[in-house]
Amino acid sequence: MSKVWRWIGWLLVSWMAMEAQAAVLEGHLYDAETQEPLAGAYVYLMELRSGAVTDADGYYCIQVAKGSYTLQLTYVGYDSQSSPLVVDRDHLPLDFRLHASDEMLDEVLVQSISDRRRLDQANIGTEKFSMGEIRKVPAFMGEVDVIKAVQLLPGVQATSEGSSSFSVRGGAPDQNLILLDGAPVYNASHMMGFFSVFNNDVVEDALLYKGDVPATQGGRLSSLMEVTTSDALPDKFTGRGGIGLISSRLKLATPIVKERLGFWAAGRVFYAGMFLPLSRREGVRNARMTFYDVNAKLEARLSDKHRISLSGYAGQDYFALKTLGSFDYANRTATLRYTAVVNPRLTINTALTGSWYDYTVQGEISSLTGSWQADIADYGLRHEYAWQVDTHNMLKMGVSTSFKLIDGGHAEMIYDEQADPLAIDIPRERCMESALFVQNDQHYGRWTLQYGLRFSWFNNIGPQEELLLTDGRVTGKKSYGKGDFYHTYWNFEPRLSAAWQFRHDMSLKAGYSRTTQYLHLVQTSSAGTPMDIWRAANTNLRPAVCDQLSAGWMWDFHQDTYQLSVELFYKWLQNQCDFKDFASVFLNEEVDAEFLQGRGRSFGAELMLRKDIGRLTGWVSYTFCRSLRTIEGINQGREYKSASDRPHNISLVLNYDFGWIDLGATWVYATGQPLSAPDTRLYFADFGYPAVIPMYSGRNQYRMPDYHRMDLSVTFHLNKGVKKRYDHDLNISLYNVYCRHNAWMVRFNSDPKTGQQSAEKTYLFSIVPSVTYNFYF
Amino acid sequence: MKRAGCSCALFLYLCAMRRWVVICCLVLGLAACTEPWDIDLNAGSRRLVISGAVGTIPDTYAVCVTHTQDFLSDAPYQGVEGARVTINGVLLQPDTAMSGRYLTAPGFAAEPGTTYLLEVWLDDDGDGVEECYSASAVAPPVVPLGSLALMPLTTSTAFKALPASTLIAFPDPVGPNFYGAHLYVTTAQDSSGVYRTLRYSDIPDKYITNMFSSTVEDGSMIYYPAFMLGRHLTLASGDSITLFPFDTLTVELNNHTEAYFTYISQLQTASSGSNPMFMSPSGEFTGNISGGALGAFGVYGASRASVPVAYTPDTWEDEEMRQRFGSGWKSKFSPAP
Repeated sequence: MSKVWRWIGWLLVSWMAMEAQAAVLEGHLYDAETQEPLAGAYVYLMELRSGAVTDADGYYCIQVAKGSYTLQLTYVGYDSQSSPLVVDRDHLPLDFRLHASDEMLDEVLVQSISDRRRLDQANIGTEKFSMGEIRKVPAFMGEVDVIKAVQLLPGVQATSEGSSSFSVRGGAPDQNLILLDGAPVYNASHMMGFFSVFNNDVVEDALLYKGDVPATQGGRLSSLMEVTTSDALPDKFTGRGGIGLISSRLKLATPIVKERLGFWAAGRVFYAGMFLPLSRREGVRNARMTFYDVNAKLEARLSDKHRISLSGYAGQDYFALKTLGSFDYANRTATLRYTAVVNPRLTINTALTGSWYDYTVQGEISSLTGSWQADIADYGLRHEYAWQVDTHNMLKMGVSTSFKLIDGGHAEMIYDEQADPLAIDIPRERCMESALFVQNDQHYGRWTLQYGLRFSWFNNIGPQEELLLTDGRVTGKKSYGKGDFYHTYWNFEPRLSAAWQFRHDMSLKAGYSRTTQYLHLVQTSSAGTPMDIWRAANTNLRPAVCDQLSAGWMWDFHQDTYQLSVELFYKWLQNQCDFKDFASVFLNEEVDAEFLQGRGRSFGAELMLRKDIGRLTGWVSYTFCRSLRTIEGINQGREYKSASDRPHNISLVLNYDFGWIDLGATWVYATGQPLSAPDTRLYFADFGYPAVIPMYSGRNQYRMPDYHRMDLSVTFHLNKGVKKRYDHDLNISLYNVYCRHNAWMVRFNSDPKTGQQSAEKTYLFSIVPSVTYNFYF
Repeated sequence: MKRAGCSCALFLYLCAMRRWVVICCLVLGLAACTEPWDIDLNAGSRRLVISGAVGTIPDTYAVCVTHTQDFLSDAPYQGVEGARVTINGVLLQPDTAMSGRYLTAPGFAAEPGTTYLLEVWLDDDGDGVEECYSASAVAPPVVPLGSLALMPLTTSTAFKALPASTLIAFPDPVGPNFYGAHLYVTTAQDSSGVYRTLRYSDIPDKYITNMFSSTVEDGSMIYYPAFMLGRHLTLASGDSITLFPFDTLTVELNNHTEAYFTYISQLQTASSGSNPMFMSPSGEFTGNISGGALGAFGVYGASRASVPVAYTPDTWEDEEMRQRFGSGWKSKFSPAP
């Protein structure tokens, strides 16, 4: 017995001795010139063959035993630092500053997380862009755009020519959660989708999860895109902007109290509409269009451990047609965030968010003047703890909730002689979506695991008059009083992913996730329009659920210059929505009766070869993806292609850095969009003159022509690579270099003289040149 | 909020708004163009189509019997001949001017509340046995038109007689109602003074576009801009006419049975829109014809109201007025108030 007690005592003492020798190394990494925190940088201890990655605030924390080490700091695009480190205290706060590499003045074309990090990162299908990379991708009309850059990634597909709407792994466009500083963006597009709402001058980075979404987030089935704005406290007044053929932009940043309080604001205005009066088409000459947007951020570092920021976005699009009326829509977001570093291991983040989207159509016909409005408002609260339990485990847990007000449409008309206007109101929906989540990121040797559980629940809140449906027909209504929580859905959403770096240059990954979506987007076009409306799950509309299995293999070779990755995925989808044949969704108070729900599946493979280092950088990717639906009542109950089913997708993105000239090229290919086309026709001759009417026998049984195009760009760094206080460059780009007439939509016409039917495609662009002058100071 | 107006007018207005959002999209693509596209479509199955409607105003009405064709087929219109078509047992006669149309006697008028049974006997499958394809409908009541006015389309053209819309007003009876509207133009095109009455809405698209229901604004006073007209109108025959002062516009309000209205609305959905954007999903048409035939049979109550076209100085050219009214035309007109 005494021997046992001795062993126990020894173990205890040893443990205490070991604990006594453990120290915490923590601090921040910054850009040496801009003082911007470097998120995703790698802090590595060579002797331990492990380290940490900085978070969004550039913060890292490592628990190590006291002793001597070699510390290595790496961040792609920056000069690495390697230095001896002696850990002789229990707590060693160390901040570092890295210099941008002279070989590459901007970041490489596709930074992503550093290659080494990607190998051991558990999440499959995660991509990250930084501002510099996005700028190098040839852009439509010279407008660099984070969403257009994301659309070049494997597994991501633009829904139509020029659109900011995108599909991830066969998912519908509404299945992507887009966050701007944590606030959801309900319509991330300007000018009907030709441009996105994200001003690249304010974007710090964009992180895309293609389905393997961490348990800390949820609400959409297909993807999560987190766009984070610059989070800097500038040490001097700086600015950047651009003047282009169709738009201009300017961002100004200034300290208010040095290293404590800073502010920046940025704006864009689009003025291509001034060219419309020059058109030969009368309809175009009478049109007016413009958009503007403004971003701003106020940040306060109250102390080394407390930080608060307030950021916001406001943008509006405006169209008018002289003889008919006007149409405008607006997006606004706001985020108030408070970060507290309680101790080196525990960080608390609290955020209040607000998001608003609305549109208005108004005009006049024959003394009838009217307007039509719809909007959605989203108020959210998120409270999250990040706890570095030990060197192997990072635990995150928290709660989030959001209250949503959805006004599906209010139409009003006044006739001259009327005293009161006529109105149609789609009943306003009130709902609350909440979640509890817990997630652990675990790293043991060559294994990295991320696992968690998200419990989400959704409440419909009165007052409301819900439809009672029987076999898809309205048979009655049920009323609920103000404040009544009259319906609740809930779901457990487990998430699990693992990476095994079985060789120093190879890893295998696998993952499973379940996601739930409680909002559906009511749209009748595959590309979406600003007039699409959101509809909450309710008694008749069940939430959509997705179970996704994925697996991947990654290989860094040729001294980490190249990376080859293969990813496979399969998604099982429940409660997918689609419209009945001849659905009436336009200002329909009983729109719930126009939906049908069923199941779906998506599956595919993504291959990518990328090169992130050297003068030539870029990637080539191939995606095979099928997206199918089976919904009783549609296509005679047979499985059919969803609007996002485009089996083959190829992207080639290249950039060559000559020093003072950058050349960029992209080539994209995608199978044509599914298309419903008439097989037969009938004649309607009831009034004595036969008119041809097309008849459709199936849903999406054909395809539009395949899509492909090439873009080129050249950027002249006018300071010839020398850093000066005022820096400027000139970007010239060509969109659709070989004038491919990619179909945007198809019409089936009847010749009134011969009665002959034909198909006609509308294409938007031939070759589109642009010139943009950019400046930085 | 007091609902004293027209949801259907609102609907038409908002549909117009929605259409010009499409224009906005095209405007954005400043270089947007169209070109023919060869698409390889599957051969469709041949189906029998029967459709027609009779009304309460004495007239000659038609039931059409045709077959579907492959969409890209070169074949011209060809109706089905040799069918035996009856309404309430009374045989309809083949239209000698157009195959596949079977006509009631002139002056046929449906009675509100009466049930009408259409039967089409035809050996469509060639098995030597005539099958019967039938449908029945109860004639709805006549909804009287309260008034008809010619209203300028926009305030910017308010000083002109045309372009304008024929704004109808009528009290909608309680209960679901499904409306369509025909437009008749009584005009003389030259100074010989021979007036003719022509039906402008024989072009199916003109009629179908103006179909609306009052399921939302049930029981209200309805104001509806039924037709939007310029000075020149193109008829179904391909001829073009000009509207002149003293011409009369007559709108006929049709109160349809639901099955026929639904069928026509589906034809409208299928024939409009641009694929895959801006188009409601379309499928096989639903109707009320038994025996597996496509199409629908309906009955409608009809009422009419008329309005003359007024003279305003800036609407017509001097030469066309001279041709219509003679060289001394100016002495015949004083401007409308």
